[in-house]
Amino acid sequence: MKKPNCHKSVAAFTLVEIMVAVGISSVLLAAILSASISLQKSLNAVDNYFSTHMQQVRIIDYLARDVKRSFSVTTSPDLKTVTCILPNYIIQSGEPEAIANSATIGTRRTPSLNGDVNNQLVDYGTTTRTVIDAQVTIGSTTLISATASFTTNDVTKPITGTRLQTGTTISSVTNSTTVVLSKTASSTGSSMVTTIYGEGMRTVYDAVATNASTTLTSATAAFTSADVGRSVVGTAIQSLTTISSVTNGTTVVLSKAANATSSAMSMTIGGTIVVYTVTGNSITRTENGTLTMIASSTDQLLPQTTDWQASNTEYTNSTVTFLPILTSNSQTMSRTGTTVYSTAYLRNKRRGN
Amino acid sequence: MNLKRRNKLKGSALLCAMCTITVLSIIAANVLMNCTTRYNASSKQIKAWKEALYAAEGGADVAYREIRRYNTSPGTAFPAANGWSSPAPSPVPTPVSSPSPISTSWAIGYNVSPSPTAQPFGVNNSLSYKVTVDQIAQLPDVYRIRSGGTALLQGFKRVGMDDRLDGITKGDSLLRKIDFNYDHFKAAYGYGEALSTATATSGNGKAQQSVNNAQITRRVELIVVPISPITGAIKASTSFSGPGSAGVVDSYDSKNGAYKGSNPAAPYDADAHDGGVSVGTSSFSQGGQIYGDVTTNGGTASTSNISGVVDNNVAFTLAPQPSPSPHAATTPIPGSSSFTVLATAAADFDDTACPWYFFSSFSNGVISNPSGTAEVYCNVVVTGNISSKLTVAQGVNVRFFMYGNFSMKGKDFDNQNVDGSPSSNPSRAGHIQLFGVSPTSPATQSIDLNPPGNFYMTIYAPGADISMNGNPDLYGAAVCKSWAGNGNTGFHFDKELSNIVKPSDYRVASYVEDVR
Repeated sequence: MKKPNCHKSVAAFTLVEIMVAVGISSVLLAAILSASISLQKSLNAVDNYFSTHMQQVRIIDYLARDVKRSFSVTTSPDLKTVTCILPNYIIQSGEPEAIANSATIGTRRTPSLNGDVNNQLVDYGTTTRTVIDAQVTIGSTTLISATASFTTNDVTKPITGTRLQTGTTISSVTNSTTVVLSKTASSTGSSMVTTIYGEGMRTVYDAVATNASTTLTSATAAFTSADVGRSVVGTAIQSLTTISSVTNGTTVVLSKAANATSSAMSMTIGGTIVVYTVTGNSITRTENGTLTMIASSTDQLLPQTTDWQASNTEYTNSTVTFLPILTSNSQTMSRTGTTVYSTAYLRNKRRGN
Repeated sequence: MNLKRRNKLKGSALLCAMCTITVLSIIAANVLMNCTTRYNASSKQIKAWKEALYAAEGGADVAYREIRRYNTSPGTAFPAANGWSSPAPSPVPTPVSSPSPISTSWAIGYNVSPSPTAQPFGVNNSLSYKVTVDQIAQLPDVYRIRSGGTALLQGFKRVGMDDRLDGITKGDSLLRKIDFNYDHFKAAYGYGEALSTATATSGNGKAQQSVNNAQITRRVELIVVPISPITGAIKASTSFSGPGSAGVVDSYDSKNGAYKGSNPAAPYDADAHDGGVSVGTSSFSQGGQIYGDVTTNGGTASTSNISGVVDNNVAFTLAPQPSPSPHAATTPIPGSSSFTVLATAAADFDDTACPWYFFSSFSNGVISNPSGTAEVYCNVVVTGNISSKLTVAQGVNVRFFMYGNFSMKGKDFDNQNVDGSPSSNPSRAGHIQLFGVSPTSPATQSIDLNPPGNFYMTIYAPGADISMNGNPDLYGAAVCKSWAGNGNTGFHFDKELSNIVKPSDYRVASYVEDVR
């Protein structure tokens, strides 16, 4: 009987073969593992990149939209704050029109126009109303309108009409159809179109400010206590200035001192205040002092440079450069800055300001 | 046996390779999916969001162009052939009822037969706009443009971020208000004025209207106001030589009656010192007192004897006066310069019913009113000179288009209208408007106002040299190439003319976006 051939029947790998196989497998596994880690890092990097990019784009989109629909845009001296004053386009709950007729809440407001034909300003003020049946007599301060429905709230409100002098306000209310004006009528007539301005946004042209002083005067502004807290915008007025108190119908105290002396200054009172502020690693957007999270960011945004060129020109370029911080596995990944560039269209010139 | 073992070894290797490829593919697919999602959000949605605004502003520009055309050629503006309909279908836009009902309005892009539902444009008609125009004030006329632009969102419908407002999404869809399946604005606000709590009706336009493609819509509102060619007492493009030391330039407002002097008592004092003088070069020689602002372009005007603000760094150009474009059937030449205005129902100079008269020269003219003192309008084209005498009856509004020269004495210039009435045109000077058609260089044009007597007229002659000789007074306004006051003349600017003279153009005075 022949002894079986052990060498032929054993098909196992030799030690060398196994070592080679293990070595190759190890290399392959290491490559696969490395590729997996790289892909995962790429995923995280892409995710972080797009997340940051989306935030940048969103903020710039909001900023461009707010700048474009503002009637006034100012920047702070440190170039880290942009203040936009927006017209009150949509009637909000609690506003006089809404109190008078709740059906107007959420609807668009029809503006009034002030100034002469070559310097007309569009006013989306909140309580302006117009009647067409006013009667006045030259030299008299009495005005009668059957449809005006005057109330004591109308006292001190500016009033305009073709037969009224510039800067006329309502001094007192006799009854619902009769008021006493601050100035005499310039001519006699009836069926006069008359506009009674409310406590909303308005513009005056005779504001007087003194450098480093918080006192501001205007013979035509007809300030009332309702103006406290409202924004004021003018060439000699600092950004984010509001009315702190009303001394009388022609004088107010501002929250910030004027940064220049100016007489016959155009000044706008009221409107919605939107403020963008760069603070540390975050950019915030507030609307009338309330933080609006939808356009704010506190994630991975580090302002590298800010370059606002929001001067009072028809076109303005706003450039914001961010340096996103990308992280992966708790490791900070560096990258160069991303410049987000926006060209916004200011309407200050078009409004005639 | 050996073969089986070898087969098993080969199968394991294949399995390992497939598993490896599968794992890598899953990771890669995950990366790609994240990239694609972010790409759709950051590129396509943002692109559509921006393009929607471009579409809205494009529609507003179209409307703005039509408003400007309506000013110069009412018959050709807002053409129905382009889809415009008038009046705009109620309640789009909401009619303005105060201070007086104004029904003048136009619309394009809304569902008015036979116009399409929107005005498409762009690549593959991916953009469209709907526009309404309505008049919100009269005298001066002010228009409101409401334009909505829509951009189709390319790609699959459910490719966007959601409306979650957290640390990750920040509510991108809230900002861009993407309509994936139905028009959110129409469902909430209808035509624009419906309340979110209101029941949907055909009247308010609220409806759950599905959209064929995902889309983004943005809406803007523009207020368009007129630009008056009259901005002050005298506007001269090349030079100003003021009147003698006893002369004066001041102002008044005819809606308050006749001129009351340079320093009247209240309430007329408010309108007395707005007699602004502007010259487009440095050639400024003041002469007498100017009650108003003065601007020059490089001149040396000082505040001496000038009551207002002086600015020596203001440049401007004057638009030449083109030949008129009569839009009404030509009226037979009356035969002489003395004629009675054809009785029509024309409401102003540009009314299609307003008659046009043509003369080779106009001398010893008398224009009578067929309706007593009621307001009537006519246009007179004079290809030559206007001279000798001119009498215009009360109530007659006449607009001269003069190709030649004007020379007359004040005593022969008889404007029988009065200041203060009627309310549609309370200006005596506004009833006679002289437009000097700009001559072609080297030809010149002259307007000589001679003594004795006074003139009540409005002059827009950007190519003319105006000379006031002796001591006549002119009540009105003047836009010219040069102005010289050769004597102690008085120039009294009627501020009401800025509202009366036809606007030279329109400008956008307000822009606001409806972000609801």
